[in-house]
Amino acid sequence: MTTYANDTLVGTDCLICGARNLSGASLCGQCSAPLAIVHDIAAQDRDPQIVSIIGESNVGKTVYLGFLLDMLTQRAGDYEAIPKGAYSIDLPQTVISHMAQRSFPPKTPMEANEWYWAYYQICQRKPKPKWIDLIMPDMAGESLAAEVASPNTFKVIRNLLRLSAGSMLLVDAALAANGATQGDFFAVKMLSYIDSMHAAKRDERIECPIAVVLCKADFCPECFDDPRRFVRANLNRLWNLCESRFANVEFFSCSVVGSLGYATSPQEDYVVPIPLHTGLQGVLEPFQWIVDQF
Amino acid sequence: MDRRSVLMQAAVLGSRPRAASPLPGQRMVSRSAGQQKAAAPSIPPMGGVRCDQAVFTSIRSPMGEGYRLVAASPGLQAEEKNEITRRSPSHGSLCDESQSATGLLSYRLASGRQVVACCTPAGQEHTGRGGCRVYTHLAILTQDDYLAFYSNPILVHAALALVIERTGPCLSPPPRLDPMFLAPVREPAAFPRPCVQTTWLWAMVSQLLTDNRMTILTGLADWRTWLGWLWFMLPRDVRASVDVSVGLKYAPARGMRLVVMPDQSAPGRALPIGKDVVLHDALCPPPEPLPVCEPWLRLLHRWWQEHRYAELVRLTSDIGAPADPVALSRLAALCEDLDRARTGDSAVREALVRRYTHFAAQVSGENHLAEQILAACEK
Repeated sequence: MTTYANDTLVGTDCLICGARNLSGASLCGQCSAPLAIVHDIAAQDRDPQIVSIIGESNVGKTVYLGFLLDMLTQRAGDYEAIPKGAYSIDLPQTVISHMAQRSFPPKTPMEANEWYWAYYQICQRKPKPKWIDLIMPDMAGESLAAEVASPNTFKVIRNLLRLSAGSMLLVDAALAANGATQGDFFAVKMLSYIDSMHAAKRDERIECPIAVVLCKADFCPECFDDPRRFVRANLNRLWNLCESRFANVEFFSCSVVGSLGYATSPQEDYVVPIPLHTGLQGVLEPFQWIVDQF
Repeated sequence: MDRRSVLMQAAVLGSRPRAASPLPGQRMVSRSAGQQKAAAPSIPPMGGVRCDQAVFTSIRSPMGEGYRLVAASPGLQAEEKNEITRRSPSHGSLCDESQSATGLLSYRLASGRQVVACCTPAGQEHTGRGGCRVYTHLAILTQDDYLAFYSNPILVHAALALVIERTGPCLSPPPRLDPMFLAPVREPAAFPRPCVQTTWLWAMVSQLLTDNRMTILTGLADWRTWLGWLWFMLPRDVRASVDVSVGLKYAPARGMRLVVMPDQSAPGRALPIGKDVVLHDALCPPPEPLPVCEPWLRLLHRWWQEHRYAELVRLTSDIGAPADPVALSRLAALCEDLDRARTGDSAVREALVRRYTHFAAQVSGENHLAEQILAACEK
């Protein structure tokens, strides 16, 4: 059991970077992680597990995580989820309220103090009750890209990935199905970063569970039938790297938007996507798989 | 800041913006991507200061999407790029998202070079997820080149805004962004003076000289002229060491010493709470300056009231290290004596000659002032 200092006189040690912070500080002065998590964890008897949601900018990390947390809170599947602290509700609330108004939630800023963090106590009821404390930050895709391109640019990301018990790598299936290689390259960069961080020997494969989630799969329904086949065909670089270096990878497809409209006006040179209704498919399965690996 | 102030600043900088053209921010967003002028290097004006430039914004390109350094001069080092990426503003960072809003960012890089950035809204965020796109154009200067602007970020910001107005935002970046030329300052004392909240100037000089804590200042009515003069009040050595952001939400990752949020707008989701941060509201009376700063502030205040702006800028710009309150108090005493030498009777002058004939300087600039006192006494 790791202990985290929670002494208002001497300050609080950050869960992510270990930096000592002044008493009363709400965010870590070093990495901007919320210190409320440390206070909440101190009352528990379990070590928390961090699950990272990673993927490039505009892939849908915020929407996915928001719906996932909302489903867990609504006891989807065999789960019971208890959010710890109001900050854990901010993300699902933002996502659900924006989608109810037929708009996507705003872009996540690169500034780590503006990220949403969620700390949930989750109980998997079957086959036998199992409690897990999960911390899931909603990181900005641009910050991930900057860190991957130049390690230690955003130390909070490096620390988070180092501490992660599992990761969900989101890839835009719609773009991949259209032949775009950008998502494939980004995913390879991301996994290569994780690979180098674990610094495993050439013949050793990394055990950390990675769920590759094909997002926006409503654009290419065929990837629901066989995600592995879809990845092998459309994201071949990613497939090969997973096969070579990662021992614990699974592939999933997911979609949260039932139908999408596009709005523009003659005066504007951009198009706004309008989510007309939500149709959740495959949101819970990657999470279920990750939890099963713990 | 109104349009008149922009024109006045431009006049000080020796460059004349077209009278009919709107403010930089308005101009940029009204121009569609196809109409943007290429971000070619600006034509070097006579005596222009050459500096590297970079653009940090959100565009979609084959190499990725979202906020990143989309273009940079070849002179930028990899470490400098990383630091700029870490400290630049991204989505939703502007306190005011109206099309005429402008933010400023100024900091010294670990490499020693100075970054001064102009942050403006540039149309809608390109993925259509709401909010404006934050466009940040950065000038990267050596400390020697920064001296051409009296190490004053407001002067660089004004020169940079003129360049952006002329070239438009760089939303279709060329493969290589050549260094740019910024018009240097001709007559800093002619910089427009703030007419409100001047009492806060002395309070903030005291704060920046004596307190290393991060300071957040809200409620400034006219930040450009106010901050321009705050910097002129600071000794040269202190100016480049104070990292400042204006019009941007607070973010610890930016590592600013002074965060100015002009209109008391939302300071971000979580303001830091703790003993290492000072929060000031310029709409309230300023705190009393520390006694250790009083001689220096008394001098600045008197010269300000006597409209001796050029002398004031010259004095502060000549002060190198150390520039602590004790050293400044010594300099203030010499300045008071210089004034006495100019206006006093023969008895006063004789006393001053006796005091300064074998004067032993302890602080840089003291010798020069002592010589001036003796010269004034001889006259």
